[in-house]
Amino acid sequence: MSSRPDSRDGLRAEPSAELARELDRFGAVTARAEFRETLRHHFVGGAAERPRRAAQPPSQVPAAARRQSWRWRLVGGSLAAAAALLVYIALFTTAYGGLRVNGELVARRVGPAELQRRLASAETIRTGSQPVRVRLGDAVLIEMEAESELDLTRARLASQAGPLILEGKAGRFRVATGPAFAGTVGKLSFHAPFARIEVTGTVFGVDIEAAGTCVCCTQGSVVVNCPLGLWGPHEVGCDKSGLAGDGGFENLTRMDPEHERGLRRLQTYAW
Amino acid sequence: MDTPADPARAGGAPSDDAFQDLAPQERERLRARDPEALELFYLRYFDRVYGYVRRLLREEHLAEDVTQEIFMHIHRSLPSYDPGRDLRPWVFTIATNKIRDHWRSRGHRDGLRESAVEEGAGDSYAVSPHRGPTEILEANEVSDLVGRAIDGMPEIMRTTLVLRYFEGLSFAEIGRIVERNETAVRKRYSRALEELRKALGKVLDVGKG
Repeated sequence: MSSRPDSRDGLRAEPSAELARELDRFGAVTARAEFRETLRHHFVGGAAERPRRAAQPPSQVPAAARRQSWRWRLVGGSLAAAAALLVYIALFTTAYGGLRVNGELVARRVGPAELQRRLASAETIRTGSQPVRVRLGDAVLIEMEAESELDLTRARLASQAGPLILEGKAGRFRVATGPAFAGTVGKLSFHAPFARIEVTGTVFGVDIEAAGTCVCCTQGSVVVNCPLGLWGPHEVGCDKSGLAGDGGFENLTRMDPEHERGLRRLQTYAW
Repeated sequence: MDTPADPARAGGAPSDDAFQDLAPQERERLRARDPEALELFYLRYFDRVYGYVRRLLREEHLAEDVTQEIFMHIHRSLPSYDPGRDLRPWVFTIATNKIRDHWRSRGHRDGLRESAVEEGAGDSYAVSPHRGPTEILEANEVSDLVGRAIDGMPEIMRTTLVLRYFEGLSFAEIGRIVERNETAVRKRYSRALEELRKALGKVLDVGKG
């Protein structure tokens, strides 16, 4: 069919014998038997559908193709990992500085409204690195500083009658009674390691420290008793403070400025 | 200095003389997609088409993909094939177009080669003819040098070389496939051989010595 003309017009029409030898060596290629058979089957048997190329052993897949494959796998894996991380952060990582309500960490997915609902019905609250404010209806507002722990006796509150007992285990607290306090709770008792504070409607603060329990009041008055009945009662009036410790109760001449600042701020709370 | 190659050379490349195309009646049956004719066509053409693709693309998995595309295209196009015409140029035109599609899909690197061809500036190829002995030794295989030299050629020169040398097509047939006149194809083939000779110059000299 084709001819192999000799050199014409000064052009080299055929390679030299040496070059032809190298070209033949280069040109010796053989297809994989699997590929040949797969394609034959589809070509002769009807090429309506595109055949799938017979898979090659990994060692025969060219390095460039392997790199490409790994590149896509890497991209896909990274995207999947990023998505999983976002889901994990959204659903499982804690927010609110590691706040625990009834012993359980509050996750990031919990919104502020849901958080308030949980806090209002909580029996135990332990703050982490952030303070938290707990509002019990219009009756009581409690501010807990970071690293504070509080137990709330819910049974009495649920019946909307009788005293509410708050038991401060550690940390700093500020408590304000609200407009519904008299009609619902009526009486609030705050238990601290060295002091039992009875409240009938006021704004006061309790700071549990190594030296004792500091009680400050900026509105109304509170009565402080020894939990063991060893001393008391002592009244802490408006803008007064006292320290309950191992040696009994001591009226302080001057309210701690930091304690006072927190209480004044709480007084501005709009019910 | 060079001696003419033996026309009846042996080797992996298919010999033009050994190739027997389908007879006219077989081509008629092929056009009708008769299974026996398809089988015969496949047996006659698979190695040629695959070899052609493989020599131009070099990578096995690419060659398989493109070969598959070619045979699927042929199967689809058989009803439009004119049995009165030679089958081989028709097949290699399809194959060449598929390979060209592949090269063009690979981005501007091959595009640069094409533009070099169009502008007639095909003298600067990837493989330098001034290779040192160390570099040649590092190439490890002479056939790798051949492959790299062919890779470094402009697209049309590569196609012409492979169609002419390995597939044994005439310059006129190649001209129709690559859409150039016969003289232009002959020149490109000659230049391709010259480039190969330069690229392999030291190796060939060693072989002769």
